[in-house]
Amino acid sequence: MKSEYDVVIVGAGVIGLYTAHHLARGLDPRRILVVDRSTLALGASGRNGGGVRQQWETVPTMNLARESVHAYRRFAADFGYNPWFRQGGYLFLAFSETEVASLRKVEAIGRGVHLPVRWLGPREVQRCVPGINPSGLQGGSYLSSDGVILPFPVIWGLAASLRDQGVDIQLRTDVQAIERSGGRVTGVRTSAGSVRTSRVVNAAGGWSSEVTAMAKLLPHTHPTLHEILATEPLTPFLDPMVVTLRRGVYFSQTMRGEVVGGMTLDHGPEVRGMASTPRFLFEMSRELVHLLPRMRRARILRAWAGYYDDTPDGLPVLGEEPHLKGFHQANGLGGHGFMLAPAATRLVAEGVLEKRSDQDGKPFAPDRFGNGDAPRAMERLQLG
Amino acid sequence: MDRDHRITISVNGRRVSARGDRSLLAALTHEHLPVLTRSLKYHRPRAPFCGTGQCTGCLVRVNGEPSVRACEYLPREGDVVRTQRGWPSTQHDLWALFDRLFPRYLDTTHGFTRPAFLRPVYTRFVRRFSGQGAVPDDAPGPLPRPLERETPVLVVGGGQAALSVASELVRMLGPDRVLHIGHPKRPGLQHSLLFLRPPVRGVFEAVAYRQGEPALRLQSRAVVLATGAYDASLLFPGNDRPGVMTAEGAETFASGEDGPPFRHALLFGAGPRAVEMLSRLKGRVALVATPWEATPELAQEATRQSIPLHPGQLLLSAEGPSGIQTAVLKDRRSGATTPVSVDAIVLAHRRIPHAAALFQAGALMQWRDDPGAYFPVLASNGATSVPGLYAIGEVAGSGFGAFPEEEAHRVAQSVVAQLEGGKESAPEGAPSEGPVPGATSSPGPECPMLSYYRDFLRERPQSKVMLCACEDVCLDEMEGVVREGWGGLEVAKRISGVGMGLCQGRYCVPETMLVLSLLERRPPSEIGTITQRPPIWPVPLGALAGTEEGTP
Ligand SMILES: Cc1cc2nc3c(=O)[nH]c(=O)nc-3n(C[C@H](O)[C@H](O)[C@H](O)COP(=O)(O)OP(=O)(O)OC[C@H]3O[C@@H](n4cnc5c(N)ncnc54)[C@H](O)[C@@H]3O)c2cc1C
Ligand code: FES
Repeated sequence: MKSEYDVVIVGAGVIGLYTAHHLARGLDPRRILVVDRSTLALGASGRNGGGVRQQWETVPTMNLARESVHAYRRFAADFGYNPWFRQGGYLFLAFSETEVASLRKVEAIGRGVHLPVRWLGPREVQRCVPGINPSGLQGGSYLSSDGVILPFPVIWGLAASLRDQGVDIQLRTDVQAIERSGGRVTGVRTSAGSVRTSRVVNAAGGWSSEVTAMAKLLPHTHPTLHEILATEPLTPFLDPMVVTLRRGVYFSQTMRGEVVGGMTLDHGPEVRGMASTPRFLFEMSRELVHLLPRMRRARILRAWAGYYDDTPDGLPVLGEEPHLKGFHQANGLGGHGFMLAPAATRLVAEGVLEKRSDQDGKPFAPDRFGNGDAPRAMERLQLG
Repeated sequence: MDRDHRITISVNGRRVSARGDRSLLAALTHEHLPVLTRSLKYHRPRAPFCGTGQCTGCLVRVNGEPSVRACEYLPREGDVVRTQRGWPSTQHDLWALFDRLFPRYLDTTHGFTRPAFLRPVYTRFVRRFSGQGAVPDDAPGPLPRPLERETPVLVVGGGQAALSVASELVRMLGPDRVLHIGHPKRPGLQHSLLFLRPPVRGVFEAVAYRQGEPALRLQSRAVVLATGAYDASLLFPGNDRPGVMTAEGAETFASGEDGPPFRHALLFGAGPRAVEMLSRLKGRVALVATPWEATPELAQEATRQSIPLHPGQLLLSAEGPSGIQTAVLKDRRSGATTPVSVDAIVLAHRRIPHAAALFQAGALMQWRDDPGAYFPVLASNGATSVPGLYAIGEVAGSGFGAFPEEEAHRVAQSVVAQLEGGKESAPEGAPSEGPVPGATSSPGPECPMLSYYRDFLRERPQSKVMLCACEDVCLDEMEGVVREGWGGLEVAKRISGVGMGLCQGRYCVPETMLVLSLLERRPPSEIGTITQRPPIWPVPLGALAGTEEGTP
């Protein structure tokens, strides 16, 4: 670690590493520092379900997702690490009229931007997911180019490429303070010493609100504990990622054959620490067996948990803070940071480099929280 | 059931006569252990290894349920059993080609990356070979709701230590206030602990399960873990061949009608566990090889049975057309190699504590160079660093077969004092996953297993050494991981898949810690270990998913 850098990125998850990757094209890579308090892939980026989808309720998010899918299709060839991106589709299921209506809306918005989202009737759903419980099923929206990815190789690929280019990745080092003076960032203090810099990127994921607070700003994000499980590896039988709107249950089959799935669970303040809970094991088993009854005799192999950061309007926070020059947010990606990473971090990097972007980053800019009004645009297709 | 009750089952379409009171594995074993399955990537032949429901050597499909462990399944009349891997059959599997095609290892992390347009083709092709068994057939019938129970004291374990503590506690508190669940040896047939949460306001939450029943959801104020230990695996070329087994495996397989499934075994081990195996496997051990100096008791017993003993040996390899015909030993001091003809290898050199629940509950753990594993930091009354959590017996570090009875009394007394004094002040909340707590190494002579592997790695074996048999991860692959600059067990696991298989890392993590320590030139205690994720034993979703009233 040197004593001065052009930019310091807090967090070496997929967001921090991808941001560094984009920045290394516009800056001297040796002048970029990525700091993480733990080792690689111990944050959410090493704990997620690898779901990659483009079906959203708002066009700006859809655009981020689409660009990211393109990046992931090329990832193996570009980085030499294979994340086995498998485009088996995403299938959102509807069990009520309201759910049909909101998924029909996704279909329409998708078509508006030339994403061929299709509506599947109950029969087609049953063909697509062999053994699905048909009771109450009204149909679902399906996009075949969505898919699942193995998160780890993405992290290794990015880290190896950054290392080769000369970017410093400083692990097991805690960022403890953001130094500022006169409305500008001047440096960061870490457990391994202080570093001078005029630009900081907050890519601290589930801990992003703490880092924002270190800069003496009001946080826009809050941490959410999310749990997930994997079954024993089964031979291939399930192509798409299957999602229900009610309770946000999702499951898919990885390239290793495991069925990996999670659901939205509101944990009270009782539950702390990054560990699984019995409650999740029981409720998730119940949901999975209800949706796919034949899974009752498949075994759970492991369950784990991770933290990500949510925002009040369901949109990520990307870009420079209006009241602190040089402090760039790259967080608030909720349960979808992996699938949006390549494009979301491109916007962040362009902000850092003060480049004009081809995409309108406004809906994601931190100034939307400016005067306490509830932000207008809302992305409600939040799951997992 | 009548002891000689014979039933008929179907195995790959053939009718087979079996005993209903013996495991399915016993019905499938005749003199030699059968090749029941093929490994995940290279389709290497695999036979039962551990005999305790942990390894992946006896997975078969039973009545439409995939990957049932034959060693812990009691067959019933009319059962339909199928082997699940290999084409055209498990015995003669064409896909074993992969083992030859990739003599070192198949690199799915860096492989199949270019050209980009072939990605969907590669993906479809490689995916075809993924998975262990096919998705279960649908099973009709109600799913009873998990049972909830509160018990002041929970005792976990199936051995002498658990029995002694439990009976002391029952004597002192009465039977209603103590729940004793058994584990391991036959995990499927007794209740085993799947998950133990750190206490919240003095109350532990635990989940337990017994084959064929809904899960048990438990709350208790004190937990005594007497979960014991198991015999470790060993690294050498051919270590996953049919015929290599742990001492526990040999014990289980030897209890069949025909006795042990071998005639001239090589027994590998230097201490009390090896002595015990010598007396259990009477007449079937051809020779004893010890990795370091043999204990006087072992030397004595070998002489008494007139079995040759080779002290201070490396086990260099095991070979044969299928199974094992020869093993090669190398004297660690003189360097002399000795080929020996044997038909099995029984591993009795090292025992690893069943410590998963201690890690889960957040107990402070400490690395011990002998045998090279983590044990809980304990007060003299058996109390761990977590108030209300106690450990006793082999999991607590009392050696093999050396359980002192007074200890049970002491632990029981402090549990009772805690319950009656009501002075538990449990730390709130759960510890986060992170570096291994209390990972300090005690100074002293170097870990014997570590120096063994140092000698072994100098040999640079030419063929595959299976580091993780469940996931088919080879030693060479781990060397590649370290060469690329990655390190530590958590990262190595995420890159290679080591420890992510059906045995929950029990047979590969202890070896990988030592190998990484040597490759990275750091003490084992700095390599860390993997998080002990629930469930401790794989559990069917149906056991947790039930919603219906009543028990089955
Ligand atoms: C169980 C689960 C399932 C998920 N499923 C999906 C999915 O299917 N699809 C999808 O797209 N997304 C999914 N997500 C979300 C996704 O994983 C995250 O949005 C994404 O990984 C966020 O990346 P990140 O780099 O921002 O955060 P992280 O990977 O968490 O990285 C943040 C890093 O910052 C470090 N850090 C924090 N504070 C400091 C500090 N003060 N000093 C130094 N370092 C610090 C942390 O150690 C951490 O490594 C899931 C998340 C979880 C937990
Ligand atoms: S040997 Fe079973 S997980 Fe590695």
